Amino acid sequence: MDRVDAVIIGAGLNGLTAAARLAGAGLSVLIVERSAHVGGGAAHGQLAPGYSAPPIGFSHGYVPPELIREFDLAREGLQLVRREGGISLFDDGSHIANYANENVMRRELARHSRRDADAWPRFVRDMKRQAELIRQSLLKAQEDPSEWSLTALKQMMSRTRSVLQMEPEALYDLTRFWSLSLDDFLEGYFESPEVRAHLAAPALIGRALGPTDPTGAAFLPAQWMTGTNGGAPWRMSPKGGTQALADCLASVLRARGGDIRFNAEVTDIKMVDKKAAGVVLADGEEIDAGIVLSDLDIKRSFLSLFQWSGLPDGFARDVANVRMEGIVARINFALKGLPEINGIATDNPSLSGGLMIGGGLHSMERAYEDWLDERPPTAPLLEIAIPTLEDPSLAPEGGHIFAVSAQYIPTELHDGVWSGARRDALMRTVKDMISRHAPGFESHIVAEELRLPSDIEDQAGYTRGDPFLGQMSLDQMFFNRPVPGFSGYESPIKNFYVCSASGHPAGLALGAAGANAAQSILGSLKGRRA
Amino acid sequence: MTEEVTDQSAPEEGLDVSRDSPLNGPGVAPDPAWFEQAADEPPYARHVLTTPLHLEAADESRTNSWAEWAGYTVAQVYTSIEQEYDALRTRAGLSDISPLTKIRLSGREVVTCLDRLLTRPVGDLESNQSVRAVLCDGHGHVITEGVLFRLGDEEFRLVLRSSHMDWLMQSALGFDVQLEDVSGTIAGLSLAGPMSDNVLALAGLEKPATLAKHHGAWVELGGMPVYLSRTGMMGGREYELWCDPADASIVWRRLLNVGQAVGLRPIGAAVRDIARLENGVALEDVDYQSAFTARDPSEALSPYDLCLGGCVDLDRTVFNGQSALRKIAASGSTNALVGFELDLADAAGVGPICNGDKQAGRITSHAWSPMLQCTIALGLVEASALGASDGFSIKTHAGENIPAKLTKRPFLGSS
Repeated sequence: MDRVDAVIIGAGLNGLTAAARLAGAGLSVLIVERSAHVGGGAAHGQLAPGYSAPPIGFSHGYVPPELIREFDLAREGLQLVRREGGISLFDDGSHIANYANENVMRRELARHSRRDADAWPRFVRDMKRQAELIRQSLLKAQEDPSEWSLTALKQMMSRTRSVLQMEPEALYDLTRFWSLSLDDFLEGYFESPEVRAHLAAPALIGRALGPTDPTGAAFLPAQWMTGTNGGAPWRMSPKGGTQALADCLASVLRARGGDIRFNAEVTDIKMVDKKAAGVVLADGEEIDAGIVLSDLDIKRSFLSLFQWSGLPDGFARDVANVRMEGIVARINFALKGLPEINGIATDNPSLSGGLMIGGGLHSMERAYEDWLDERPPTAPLLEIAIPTLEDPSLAPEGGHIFAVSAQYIPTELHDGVWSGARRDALMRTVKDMISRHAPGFESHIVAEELRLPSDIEDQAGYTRGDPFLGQMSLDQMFFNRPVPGFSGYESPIKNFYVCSASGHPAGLALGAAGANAAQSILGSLKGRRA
Repeated sequence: MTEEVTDQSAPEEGLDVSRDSPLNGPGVAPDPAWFEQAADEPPYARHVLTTPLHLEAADESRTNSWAEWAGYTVAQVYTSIEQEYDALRTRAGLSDISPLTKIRLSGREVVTCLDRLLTRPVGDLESNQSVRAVLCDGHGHVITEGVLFRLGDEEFRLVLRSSHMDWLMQSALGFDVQLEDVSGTIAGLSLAGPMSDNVLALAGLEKPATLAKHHGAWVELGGMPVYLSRTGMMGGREYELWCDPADASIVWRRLLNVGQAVGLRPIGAAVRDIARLENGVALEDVDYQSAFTARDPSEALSPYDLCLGGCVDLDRTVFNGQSALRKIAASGSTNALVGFELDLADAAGVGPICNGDKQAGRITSHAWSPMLQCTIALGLVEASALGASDGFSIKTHAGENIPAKLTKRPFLGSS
């Protein structure tokens, strides 16, 4: 095998964007992928003939406009579908729906509280403010302020300056926002507990956090990055699902001269002079490369590809300490038709944003406590995406997919293993919860699949099944991500980089971590040549 | 926000209310079912609601041109902007102002509570007198402004362009005062123009001529109780009529019928906008952002920035934003919303306002004023630029610099 400039381990979305960006800069790149297809956790599977859904990943995600432009994805055939709305179903039969139109959204809130309807514009204003701050940081490598590089210093200065220039009230808003729990934060706007539960639930999915845990509020604005015109924000997702995005990126990569090798599992990093110099495949083949990028999570990248003795003092421990938690089980249902949902007309435009079943904040909190104690879930929080409403190409005619993310599912159980019976019991619980609101649901099921956090770990390689490849808690975001001291996607091993979602900005944007990693590599290459 | 479902039934027998129109043929009314919200209708069934006057407006409209106002549909243009403008400024114009938010405040401590809410004291307000109300947040930034009517010793009505119940209720905490959003129970009509008095007289009301500006009174119009106030934002002789939504279309029809003799016409939102601009009135969410919707905190403005300093009385008991406003008053405001006259036929898409070579602000709204025969505009500029010796100018599409003449608001003298 010829030597390449860069070898990328894993053809997930971030591996693909990293490779495509490097190839665009004139480097020769090769992706080695364990499986036979691109996409990694974003890849779709055949749930039943004609039904396509991602068994691991979420069915939606924010594609940064910068990447669409850079890779010319629209001309590559990528289409984005808009999913508006999202409906929370409550046990008493009531519901709250999101609407993109401000008037309608406020009238919907007014059904629960007139006052909350008037608090809505203030909430939107604050969400937009914070979402803008996050959006600006998405495609920026986060420099570690403790490293005295010029860029880090500059970034830190500008950040400090912007904080110092803040009005006391704005600073107070910022601290409130980064420290309060979802419930406390939302209570500052809304009096109705249903409204608070409705707004809090989407921010919880994937996070090892209860609605009353401090710092939860920080996750609210992520949903507000895509867009809103005064009503609830909508989500844009690739038509054909995340698989379509992966396919597009792969064809961009190939057009730029990059290559992908399938069915090739990397077992070791080839080291020369304590620098990464290539990868070793399972069959013993070596591929030499100037730089090595890993689209695996931070723990797999370092703890399974390297001899621990080769890592700097304490680094293995730091990496081992990164908090990765499996909390979401992914369940897909292939349905032969859309079941009728109590109280929701089939023409409700909010349906395309999916359903949320989890009761009030109290029952979410109880589910979280069960998770902490590793008890089998009795009433998990269910986020049900119905991708087929806006994108019928994902199912045969008339068919629909319920892509359920069940939150608060422990990776391990306190009293045994996830036996077949336990798995069946979980499916029973989930079906019962859905059937309570959609009585005909079960008769529509054509096929179903369940991925517990441990299955996700086995199949996608996410340690403990963490959907974000490292929890997005405050201590593991921005320049603390993935490991304090190594935020610039570089690692203590020369020429080895982590480009997966373990790096900033994690799951906040599809493919952004990979693009950022490539950018910081290109920056340092330029520095070296100069 | 929800509209009361009102009885849109045809007016009583005996009243001469002809519905002749080319659309409907003689005497055929539009089907109310087209517009009315059913009780079980889901919120998404219509993005905008209709006012109690919607059927009348639909009947009068020759253009089918509509505007959205606070979640309601109002006519944008009935016939043509020119015809409606001429009617408004030389004869009289009738328009629908039902989308306004109306909040009833009552209770033992209502005066204390309002003193706290508003930037000016209300204790001196007589019954049936109204005053311009500015509401600020703790930073002295304007949340909204409107008109406050005193209806009795312990009863007030606040009329706003947007709903702010959440804020009002927060601010009223601890006071013995009741707040109710009564928007759905009160329809509003605006009658403006030099012949307004004649229209009212023809409708059987003689008294209004003696009604002082900003004052109101209960009157009877064709047997229906109407609260008539000499208020409005278009300048000149103008009245607002507040009545039960069920009576609104009859009041509307009656005024139009008797007013025909003096040239009364229905006027749409487009002409109302020109007229309010001629009167120098700045609008929330058009000329300035409410402190609650300003995404960038620096976009929130104080009453001084809006040149509403006259509505602020600092030396009294504590009110929302008082200490912040004191500081601003002492240090001077940073922005100024001022009027400009432009020698330009159409100001759409013009560039920023410049002061010398320096950019000094931007136009927030503009219109061609047929009375003044020039384009008038409101612009938000840096206050420091006001004292500068260089005049203001604006760059047009063609790259030409045209002078922007600083003009006192209101542009038109009021009667």
